[in-house]
Amino acid sequence: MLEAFFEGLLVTLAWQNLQFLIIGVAIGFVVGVIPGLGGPVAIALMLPFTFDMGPEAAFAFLLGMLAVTATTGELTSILFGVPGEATAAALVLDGHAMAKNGEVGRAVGASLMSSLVGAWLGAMFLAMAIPVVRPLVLSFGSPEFFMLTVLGITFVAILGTGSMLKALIAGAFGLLIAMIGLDPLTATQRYTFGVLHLWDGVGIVPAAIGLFAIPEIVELASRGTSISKEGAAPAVLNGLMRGVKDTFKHWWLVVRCSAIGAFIGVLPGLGGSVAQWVTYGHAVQTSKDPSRFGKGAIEGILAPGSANNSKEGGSIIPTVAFGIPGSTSMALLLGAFVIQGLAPGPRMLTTHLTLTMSFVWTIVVANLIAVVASVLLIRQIVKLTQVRGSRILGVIVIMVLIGSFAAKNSFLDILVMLAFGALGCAMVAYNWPRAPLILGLVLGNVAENYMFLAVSRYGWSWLSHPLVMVIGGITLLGVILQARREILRRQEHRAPKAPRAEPKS
Amino acid sequence: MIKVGDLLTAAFLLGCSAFAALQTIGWPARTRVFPLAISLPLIIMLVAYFALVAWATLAPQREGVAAIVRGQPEDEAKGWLPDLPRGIVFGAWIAAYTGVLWFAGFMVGAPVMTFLFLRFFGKDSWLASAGLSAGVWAFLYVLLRVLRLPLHQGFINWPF
Repeated sequence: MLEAFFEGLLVTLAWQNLQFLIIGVAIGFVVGVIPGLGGPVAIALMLPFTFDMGPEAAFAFLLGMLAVTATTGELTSILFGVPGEATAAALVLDGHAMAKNGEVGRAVGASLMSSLVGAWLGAMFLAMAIPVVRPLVLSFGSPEFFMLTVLGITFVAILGTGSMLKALIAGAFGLLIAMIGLDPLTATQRYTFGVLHLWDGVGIVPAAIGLFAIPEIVELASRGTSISKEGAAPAVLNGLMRGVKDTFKHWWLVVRCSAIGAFIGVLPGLGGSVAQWVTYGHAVQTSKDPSRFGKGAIEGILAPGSANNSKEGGSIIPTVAFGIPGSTSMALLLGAFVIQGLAPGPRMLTTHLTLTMSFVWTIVVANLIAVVASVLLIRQIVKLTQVRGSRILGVIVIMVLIGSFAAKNSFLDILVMLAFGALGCAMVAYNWPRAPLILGLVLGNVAENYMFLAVSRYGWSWLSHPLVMVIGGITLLGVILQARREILRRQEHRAPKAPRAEPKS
Repeated sequence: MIKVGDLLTAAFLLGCSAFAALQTIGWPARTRVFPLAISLPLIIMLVAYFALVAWATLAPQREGVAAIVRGQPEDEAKGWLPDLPRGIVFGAWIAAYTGVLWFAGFMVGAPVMTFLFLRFFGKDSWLASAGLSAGVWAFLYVLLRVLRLPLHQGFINWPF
């Protein structure tokens, strides 16, 4: 096992594989920055190029690309308020707020460092999980998955720091939008109005871009200035180092969120869109002063940043061990297994263990290269927030339009994005939280599918499954703690305010 | 003070959820379970919201009720839409942009609209506008021709 672990490192660092890893990282860097063109699109586009490569080089190329898109997708969320990936939408809330307040270097530093730590912890999780992965994954059936989605849905209330009622309404509305499309059981059309495009439901990418990017773009246009409100160029490197230090100052939060991300990555069907919001909600829930979130709280970057990257390591586990893809990217990666003549399963953990271990190292090395490249380019990257608003808008708008279109290659997705954009503008203007809506949209279908699978398979006896009861207990505890917190907060508001110490996580 | 736009947003959500609940009539039982399980509580919450609005209006001294209704801005420093007319013009421009892209495709529509935006909305120089538009065209060319991303090509058969 240990021998294979280090052989995996040598395989990754062998020049014939490393060169493809670097090319993959470069492509992933660019693709991650363009909204909508995420990891799945990158893998789909590049898969044909792996026909002539060996398995080690092919996976170094593809996994290197995939590992980096999650990191660089966060940069556009911070700089422009446009999620480079649907999985980076949570970073818009606090990351972009920091960019506008002239703390872009700190935000980018925190994002990069937490991504790196998250990716490494996710890779460690993958390495450690290999021997014990079988019982872990097999112990989760549809009832347990359903309970996990319920746990995720309860985060809706936590994500609305101002008014819990507004957060619940927004979250329920997101769940309702998730019902658009064909019913998975009977194939009955629901709210499709006969439009073929809606049979597949409302896409997360156009919805996330519309909700989060359009209000920022309209605000930037109406303000007519650069993204950063600070006139002078901020001390970028100082800020960057501060962001790096923040990662270690809040190390326990980063470790917890990386673990949550890796665990969600293991579970098929949940993925990064869920991981970022669950960890964001966790950061809000565990913060001593949740009111800072959405205005530039550093924990709002660290939590989703670390989870976004650790989930990659987690999602490889079921793909490699059972051929069960944890996400769209992993489903496409299965195509690479076929191209290379490999079959996911127990042989990947025995005969091809060195190759599997090279996956771990690929994630580690790819993220290291991406972070070093980002640090080297940071001055140029940060200058973008100082560019005249109108110039940057011309570029952002085309990125947003391409991103919405490219997710499904459908022009109707641009209209969906614009509709969500209008809704997003109204929500921002009138203090309706947007995060619960997108979380509801992400989890709605997953919850429905798993619940019906659980009922079909077990009747209602699944409610007495031990793991279901454990997850249910955690969910209930979270709700009670949140309600208690809300009551205490209101009592505190009524009482005269006393000076408070700097919160730590 | 509750804003009219806030109430309109809530009314829109209430309309959508009522429509969603009504649409389930005639659907198979299994198909309508989840939509009903979501839309009915949503309607109840929105009705409660309007009741709280009425309460906050009739009893302005109940600051706690008003706080629930108002919510909390995501970014208090933002002062959203400082220049509303400019924002509306920009919104109209995005709509026009989408229309031009649909008709002329990305390769032609995007550079043209970028140029028009920079020159007339951003008041940039002719040279800077043309330069950035050419950059947009080159970027799209790479996506369409090199990476073979199937971008929408519109309804005009352009020679490039």
